[in-house]
Amino acid sequence: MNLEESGIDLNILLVSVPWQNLNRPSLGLGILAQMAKQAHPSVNCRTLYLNIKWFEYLSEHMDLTFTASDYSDISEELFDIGGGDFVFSSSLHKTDEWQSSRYAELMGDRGDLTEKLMTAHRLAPRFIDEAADAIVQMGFDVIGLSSVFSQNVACLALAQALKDKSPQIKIIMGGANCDGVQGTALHKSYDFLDYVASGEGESTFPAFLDYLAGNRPVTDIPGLCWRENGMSGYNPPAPLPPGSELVRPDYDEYFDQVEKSSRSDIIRPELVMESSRGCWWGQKHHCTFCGLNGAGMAFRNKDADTMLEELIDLVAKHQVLDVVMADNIISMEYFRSFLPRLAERDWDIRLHYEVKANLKRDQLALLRDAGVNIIQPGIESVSTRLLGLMRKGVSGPRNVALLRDCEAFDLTVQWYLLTGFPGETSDDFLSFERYASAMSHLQPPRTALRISLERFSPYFDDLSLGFQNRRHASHYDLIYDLPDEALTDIAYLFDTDNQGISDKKLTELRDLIDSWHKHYQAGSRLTQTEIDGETVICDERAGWEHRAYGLPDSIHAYAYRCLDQPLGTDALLDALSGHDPDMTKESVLQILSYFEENGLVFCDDGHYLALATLETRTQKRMAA
Amino acid sequence: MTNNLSSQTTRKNGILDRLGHARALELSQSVRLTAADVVAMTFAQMKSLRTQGIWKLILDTDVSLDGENALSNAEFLAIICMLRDATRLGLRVDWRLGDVPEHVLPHLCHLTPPDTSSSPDNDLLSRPQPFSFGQFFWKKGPDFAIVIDRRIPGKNHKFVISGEDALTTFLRLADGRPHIGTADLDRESMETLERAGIVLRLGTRSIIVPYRLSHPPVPSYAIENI
Ligand code: SF4
Repeated sequence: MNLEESGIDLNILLVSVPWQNLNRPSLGLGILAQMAKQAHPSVNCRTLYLNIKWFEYLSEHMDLTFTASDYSDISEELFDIGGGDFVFSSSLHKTDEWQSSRYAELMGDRGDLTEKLMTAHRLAPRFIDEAADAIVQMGFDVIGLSSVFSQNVACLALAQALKDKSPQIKIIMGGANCDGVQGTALHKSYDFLDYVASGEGESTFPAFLDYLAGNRPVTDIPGLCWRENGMSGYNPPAPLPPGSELVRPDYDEYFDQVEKSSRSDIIRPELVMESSRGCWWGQKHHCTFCGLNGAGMAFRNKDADTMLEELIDLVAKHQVLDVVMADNIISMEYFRSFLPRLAERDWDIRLHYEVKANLKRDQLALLRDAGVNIIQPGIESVSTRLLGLMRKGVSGPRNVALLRDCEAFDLTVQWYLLTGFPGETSDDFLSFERYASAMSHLQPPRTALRISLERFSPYFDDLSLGFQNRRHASHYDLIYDLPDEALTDIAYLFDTDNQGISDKKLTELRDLIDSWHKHYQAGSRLTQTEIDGETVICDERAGWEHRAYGLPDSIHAYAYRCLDQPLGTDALLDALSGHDPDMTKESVLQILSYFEENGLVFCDDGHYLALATLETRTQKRMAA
Repeated sequence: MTNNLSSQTTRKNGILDRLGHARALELSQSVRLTAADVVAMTFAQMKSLRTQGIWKLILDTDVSLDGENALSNAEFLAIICMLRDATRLGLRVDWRLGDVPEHVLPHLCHLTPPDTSSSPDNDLLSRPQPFSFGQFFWKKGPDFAIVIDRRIPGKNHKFVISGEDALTTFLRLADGRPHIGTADLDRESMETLERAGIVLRLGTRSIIVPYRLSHPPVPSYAIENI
């Protein structure tokens, strides 16, 4: 890029629209801001966190009754029915009451959240109008809008208002909602979008700046949709950037704007960082329901030195110790490189990482020592058969082993019980139902969910996997005013025939999970301790008799130790025969039945796993 | 003290037969401490108790600053340090609160709570909310420390300690045992920390009152971000 020679000053404003998480800067915009800074001093690139202004606006107009959790409920909990997008549809369509009654019907009974959402829907046109006025006043030539999750309609509404007020402003929109055909459909449907960028910004953005400076033709910007003289075109994307080219984000303006916000008292900033993109598991076995990654599945990670340096710099600069890693899955190489070096630091950082479920104890210990507190391991189920249908590459008992070991290492696990897979039956939940009460000392799923049909997932791409009938989800009809073909291309979520268990069964599972939560919160514990060479079980699970007792004999104790990892009866017989040559299948079954009666094991698909945690969870004991 | 501790944690042989599983388990996981033990105990020793499977400390003395069983300032502050570090490590402590001046009580209400069964009148009645983890703690980052004070419901005070003088003073005070004297501390920083209720000073000894939060208990989202 050669901006210096062109001598042109570029004034670019990047805008983070609602419903970007209030506590987190936008990773995408942080990366663009950094790239603009690196490009040349003649690029004046600023970032506006309009989502924070929106939160202030709602707080002010709803007498402070609109809370941060209302904000996140609309953006996250209502994502599957497009709650956040619906709010700004009134502005996009320039009608305060746009589809209000039909949308309220779709929402069903959500308590006062419905009323707050409808109030926000009425306030959105004025907010966008005022925001567009203010932005035009700032005098920027180019406005960059980032759209992920529930940000599409806020981006569109703002882009339209800006163009109405100042037709010469150039508008570019990008982000995950513009991946592939979604981007071209948005560009075709809304002519106030001058450009739409698909794919990762590392190659597109510098080329776009170069183009703005007059040093490159528009046809030479990878992944860009453009319009010229009434003609629209689309350039194919560039190859994905390797890990070494992933840019570190610049979050200065986020922290500055949070500090100046009238609601800074309730915003709790976290850092968002990425150590990799893509998914090394999905590259080999794309989980059937997963629509993450779009065209960027190829796994690429930053080298450990670079990552550590970035982390140190950003944590020190912003004095924030809560860090969310945006990775889809941690690089296994990091267990040898990045994490041990992080563990050497005497810091109290709190990291959130997505990981693969089949981690061993030493890997969990390393995660904890490195400051990882929250993991998202994609557990999804405890049924080996269902996990096979999902192509998760892990068994049900292995997932339970992870829950057990995370309990011992004080690692918080975030997981959902997923249902609704083609080929799924009620029987696939038998082990979950049967052992839920025995697992009440382990972290429960947040709730049970029916999977959505997501664009880019194998279920979406391959009709033979079971979801033959599909149509864009019905909420898109209420939010947009576009023909079906355009909506089909813009949509990320699709309605389809329910697969697997009935809704009634789903409700029963949710009820079971609710009682698991209650038992867990009551301080349930099940531990095993060695005293005098004897295995002593201490059972303090809600719903079970509270007692401490020894396993009947050394063979039971040995069998229990063997079940530290999932074993079938034959494998257990083999293991025990080494200990006692007189062992028979019958005696193994008797031992297992003792464990079953006392709620000491989980079993699925003929594989048993010991449930008692090896170490005492002292903090939980204290809290209880 | 070290001998006392190690004999308590290794003398287990035969206890299952003698005491039964429940009592044996409790004994094998708890350690009894005198005030002298606490004065001599280091943070590293406390941490190693935790890794040996100990989860309960039983304090043999009332925690008083007044009356006939009054502890010396040195003993009292050492015990508060122990309670603070036990809270950090997730160790439960059986302890009884005796006579303590009113102005000292707010410095105790974020710590693992005292046993109220034997001294119900002496519970931390001034405690503005029930004990929960994460009310008053500090965290260490590169070249800074953050103290979070949520002892008063609805309030969230955040103090960032940075700059060489302030940070050195804070870390010296936070270093396990009560700090003696003030000669090696920055006076201005010390005064600010005291005013904010982060430092408790009795006589010539001072301690940092909040515990260090290195790894929050599960589920960690129960503790809000800082
Ligand atoms: S669900 Fe997770 S592991 Fe599976 S393909 Fe998607 S990102 Fe990868």
